[in-house]
Amino acid sequence: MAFAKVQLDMEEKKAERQGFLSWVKLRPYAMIFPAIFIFCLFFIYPIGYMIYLSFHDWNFVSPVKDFVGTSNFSYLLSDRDFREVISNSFIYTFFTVFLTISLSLLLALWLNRGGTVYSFMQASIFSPHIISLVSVSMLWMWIMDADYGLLNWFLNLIGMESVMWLTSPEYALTSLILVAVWKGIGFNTLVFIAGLQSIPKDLYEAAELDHTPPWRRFLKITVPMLSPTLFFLTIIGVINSFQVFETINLMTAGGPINSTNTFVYYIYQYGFQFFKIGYASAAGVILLVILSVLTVVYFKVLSKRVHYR
Amino acid sequence: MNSSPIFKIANGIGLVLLFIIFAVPFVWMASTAFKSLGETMTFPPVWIPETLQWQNFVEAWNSGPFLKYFVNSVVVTLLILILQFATIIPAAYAFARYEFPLKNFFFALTMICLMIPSQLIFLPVYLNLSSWGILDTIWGLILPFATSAFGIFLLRQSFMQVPEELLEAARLDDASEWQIIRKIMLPLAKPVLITLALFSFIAHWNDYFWPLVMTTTDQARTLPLGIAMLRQVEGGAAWNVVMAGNLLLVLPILVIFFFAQKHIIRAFVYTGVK
Amino acid sequence: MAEIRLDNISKTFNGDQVVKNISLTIKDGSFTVLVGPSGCGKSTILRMLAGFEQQTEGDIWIDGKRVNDLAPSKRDIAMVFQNYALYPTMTVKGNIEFGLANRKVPKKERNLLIAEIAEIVGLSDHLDKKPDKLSGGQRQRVALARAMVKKPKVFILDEPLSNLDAKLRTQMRTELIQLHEKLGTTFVYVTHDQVEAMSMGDEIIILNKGVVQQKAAPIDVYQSPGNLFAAEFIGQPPMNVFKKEEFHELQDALPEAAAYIGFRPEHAGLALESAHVPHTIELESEILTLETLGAETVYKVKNRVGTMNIRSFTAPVSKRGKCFATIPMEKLYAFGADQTALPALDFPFQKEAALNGVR
Ligand SMILES: Nc1ncnc2c1ncn2[C@@H]1O[C@H](COP(=O)(O)OP(=O)(O)OP(=O)(O)O)[C@@H](O)[C@H]1O
Ligand SMILES: [Mg+2]
Repeated sequence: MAFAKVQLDMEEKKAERQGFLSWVKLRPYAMIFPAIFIFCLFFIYPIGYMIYLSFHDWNFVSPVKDFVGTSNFSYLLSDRDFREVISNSFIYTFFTVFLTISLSLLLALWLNRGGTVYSFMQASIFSPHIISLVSVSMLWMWIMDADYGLLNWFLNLIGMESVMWLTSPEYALTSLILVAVWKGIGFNTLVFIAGLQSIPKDLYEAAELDHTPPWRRFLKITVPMLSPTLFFLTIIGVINSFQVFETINLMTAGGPINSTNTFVYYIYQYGFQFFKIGYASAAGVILLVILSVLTVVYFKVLSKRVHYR
Repeated sequence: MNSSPIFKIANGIGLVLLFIIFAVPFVWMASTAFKSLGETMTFPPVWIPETLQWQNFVEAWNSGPFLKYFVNSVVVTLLILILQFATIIPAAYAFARYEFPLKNFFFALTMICLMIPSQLIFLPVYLNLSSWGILDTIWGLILPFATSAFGIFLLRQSFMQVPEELLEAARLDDASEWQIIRKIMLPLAKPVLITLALFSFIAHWNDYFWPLVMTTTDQARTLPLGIAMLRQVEGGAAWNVVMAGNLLLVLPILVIFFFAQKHIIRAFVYTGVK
Repeated sequence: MAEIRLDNISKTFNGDQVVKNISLTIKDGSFTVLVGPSGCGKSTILRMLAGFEQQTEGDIWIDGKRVNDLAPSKRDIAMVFQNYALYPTMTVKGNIEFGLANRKVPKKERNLLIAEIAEIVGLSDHLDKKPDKLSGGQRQRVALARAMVKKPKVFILDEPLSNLDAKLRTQMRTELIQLHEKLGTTFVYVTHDQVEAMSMGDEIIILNKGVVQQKAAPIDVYQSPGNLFAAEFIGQPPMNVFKKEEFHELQDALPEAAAYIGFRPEHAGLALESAHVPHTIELESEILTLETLGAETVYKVKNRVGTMNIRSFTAPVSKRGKCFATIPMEKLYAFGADQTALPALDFPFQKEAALNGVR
């Protein structure tokens, strides 16, 4: 990088002699401008606007936006539905991430082998990952259909009662978590496998020479060496799960009785169905704060313990 | 590893079970797409339809302006890809290879955008698009994704790995900055570029949320929306038609996956590992 | 073809001066070797010459033109990098052609030039291969071809042979010397290998910590090292150097200014019996180690003066027992307290010998 700078210095001298505002000096800005412009337009400015709106009362059409202070927030926090949204979101996120990661770690340890069979299996469990959430949702709605669904047929076959997968408040959230795990497990497994394969073999060989038992090898070599992968998958999983929308919108519409309502869906409802832009924005701000805090805390607390190579 | 026969059998059973869990849903989708409406409601379920009901696909296609949806999907996805490359490449190069005042500030800004999911700020974006008059046009679906913080991050990483000496050699060879990018940097970053293209294509081809929120009429709707609307027909969903529609949506991706499976898996894993 | 002049060149990296006020002239058409230990600033000097690094102070002149503000490509310089820096995604032909194409040389002419160069470096059969399909020596040749094809005024080579195995290195060394003779272009060659420096250069510049220690023809550097550093850097094993006080038998004969005394390992001898040769220092010694290299043997011996290396071309002495190291006085070098070389020692017996010769 030192070099690029020198190159610039030299070109710059020339430009200065020519008496122009130096193109060499402006060039980097010109190169990043399109991207930065888009970011400002579609990320930075909207965030500011959302924060602004969260302190106002507005219904989309009225020409005035009334400043209401923090009353949107106090309304939300006293709203039973919203508290449910928060708890649903946390439950959904926790179980989705926990189950996906622990199951994929097991699968990775199992499937991390050569041969056609295993690479075929890896491709199979990965395939849901590239399928549209629309298709995944519809497929599972059909499979989880209480009357004609494959899942209940199978339960009945092995002598169990039918379950109201998507239509009962007790099961609906669990069903959504199952679908999320099913969709996400392949990607996580493959990332773990990549992580496993990048662990130098000689570490295991050295451990074997020391007569380290397999479970200790797993705890002392595999887990620490996988920790960056684990770290990455967890943070991605948390951010993605907190903004789940598609499956909820298509499969349960937040119901039954609010039991599967989560953040983004709640914002969507308040914004586009009830036209309460202030509330919706305040909910968005709260989600933004939660995600930021989680990310920062996660990085602060855990990154110290992650073993980077 | 344990290689006793019992272990082998258990291992085999496990693999088959795993395969069933992940493959049967797709088989089910495909088989339902060819069933008659009656067959979708029989018990025990029918796996192989009596006659292949090809008209399910016709019915799905004709249940709305699917040609329009399809064209929109293609245009939106391709334009996003093109714009992303056009904005990512210069930005990544500048971040990787130049020193300039406020560079760290702008890079931090990019990283913030990497951490913020667009799904979180759709409401204010919606309001902006509406006040700029591009709501319910394909531009509302394209412009917010005209660049990618993730792409800049990944490509910058790859540009930084190019040894300094290579660029010095190129400069002795009278190469301009643009030639250095085109002739040296981009060929070297090919795996990353393929990764980004596949990643972006799949994400935007499949996207449901953004078109759902940003369109109100058929003129800008895309395929996933059209497919989702199949279910909302009066008199309840005809699952055979719904699944036929879904098969149409999934097919391009599955075909690509079939032919570029190694690439795609590597692409996604690569984005995960880096 | 061009003469290069450095005028009071300094380079500072983050307050750390790595090149200190260097002035030197590299003769037109010479094969000049910059040699010195790792980190002494060799590459930095080259990179300033090429224009990749801007000197903190001083002027650089190439062919009578001040090039301080000239971009690398405008300096008419070609460079061969230590790890070749071949464009990995281009074929051999593409690598050689890139610079020509950028200079808008017409296609026809390009092909002619490439064919000619490929012939010279022996790559004609490999023009369509990518660099990763080539052997180390072939890559080296591509790097040379890429540099040569531009017909530059100055060739800069930064440790171009250090990635090759010993045999190939010797071969390429010869080829480079022949290439230089054929082209007659100024070569500036960096190495930290003193054997390379001695065998290739017609002028050697010894650097240490960013300061020029000596600049002279290889044989002069060897026979009359300019200072202690040059003396110890050139020669394998290096010159044996001791404090003057260790040689009490010489005290009267040595000039006042001398602080260190040195002699080259091959000038000393080793005998099993004391012979009392006149004008020779004889030290009763014990052999510590012995390296048999075939034609010669290198002994490390210990005696009252200290440990020293002795290089002998006679049949190896058995390791056991004591022996005598002999050092002819006329082969001694003296260095001052500031480590610079003093004029050749002048013993009375030498004068006598000279007189005898005349008579
Ligand atoms: N871009 C830079 N920034 C800071 N310090 C540098 C830079 N380039 C070189 N240096 C320092 O300058 C000194 C000289 O480096 P240089 O590369 O010229 O050594 P060298 O003689 O080529 O050594 P070697 O034989 O190992 O290649 C070193 O101490 C190095 O750390
Ligand atoms: Mg060097």
